[in-house]
Amino acid sequence: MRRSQETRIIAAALRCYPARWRSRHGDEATVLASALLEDGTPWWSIAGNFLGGVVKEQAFRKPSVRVGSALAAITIGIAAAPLALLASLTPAGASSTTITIVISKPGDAFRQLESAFASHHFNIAVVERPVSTNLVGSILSVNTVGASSDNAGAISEVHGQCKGGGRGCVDGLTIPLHYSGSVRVTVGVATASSDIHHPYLAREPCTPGPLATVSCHATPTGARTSGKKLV
Amino acid sequence: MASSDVGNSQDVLRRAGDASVLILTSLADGPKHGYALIQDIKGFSGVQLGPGTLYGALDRLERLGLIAELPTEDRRHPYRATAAGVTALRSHLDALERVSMTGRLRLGLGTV
Repeated sequence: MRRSQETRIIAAALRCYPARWRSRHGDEATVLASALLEDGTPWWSIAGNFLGGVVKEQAFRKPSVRVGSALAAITIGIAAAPLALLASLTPAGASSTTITIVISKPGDAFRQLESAFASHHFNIAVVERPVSTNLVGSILSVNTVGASSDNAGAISEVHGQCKGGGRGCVDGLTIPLHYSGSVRVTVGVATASSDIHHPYLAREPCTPGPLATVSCHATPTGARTSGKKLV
Repeated sequence: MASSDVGNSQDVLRRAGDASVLILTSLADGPKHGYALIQDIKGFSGVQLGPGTLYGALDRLERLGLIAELPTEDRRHPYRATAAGVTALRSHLDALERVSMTGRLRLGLGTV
């Protein structure tokens, strides 16, 4: 078999991975596969191993599966959420099947959110913004990127306790299970700790921004109960 | 069961899989990207990790906070072991050493 055919088959195997995986590893995986081919590794071994990885990746991404100890602390609820609660959190017409993701570790909010969104294949980017201690681990804004044609319903906020003790900070989101819109979520981080885990990610500059969505107003009590603890 | 749990409370790598242990061992002497990891691991262990296995393990280790990605170099992502990763590897190697010593004693091979 010619090298170009081998490369095409391996590329086809790579396309089986979720978009999130491909955007992260796709480029490097292609380079790596070429190097392995050059080393004499059989094409079928490379393609087969990638396909095995696809199976594991898909199995791992099932919403009901516990996704490792880094996510063990996160509260994720998957279900037809109680209608009474949904009525207060989502607009009329929204899907009744939702996922509620609540930040449980303010200091690790960025990673918790990013992992949770990725594990459910949401096209939601997480951006860090250095903030005062009170807002660390709070969701500062939720912005739709580009024109949204999503009809699965709307994302709604879950209000909880601010790190400094006040109430009403946004510490979670309820997202329709089939939400496919492109969204950017900005989360507050402590300035000193923000570059430990993701030095490769661009970060927004430390400038005052619109924080209207996190003003500590009265919160609907019991919002957190929409989540189902997995730990 | 108490004796089987000795020393395992800190051994987060116990259930992470052999590939994860091999990767952390490879990263113990400095950052490496995917291809360099495969080559290094093959060199010191004789195991050739497949690329799908490699990326699965890298994702798992990163989620556990045991490795971190460094800025991309020429379409490749180098990874480094975090402080937590070094600690986890040390704990795991200690646990393996205890098993090794026990096995050798029981086989009449003495201690290493």
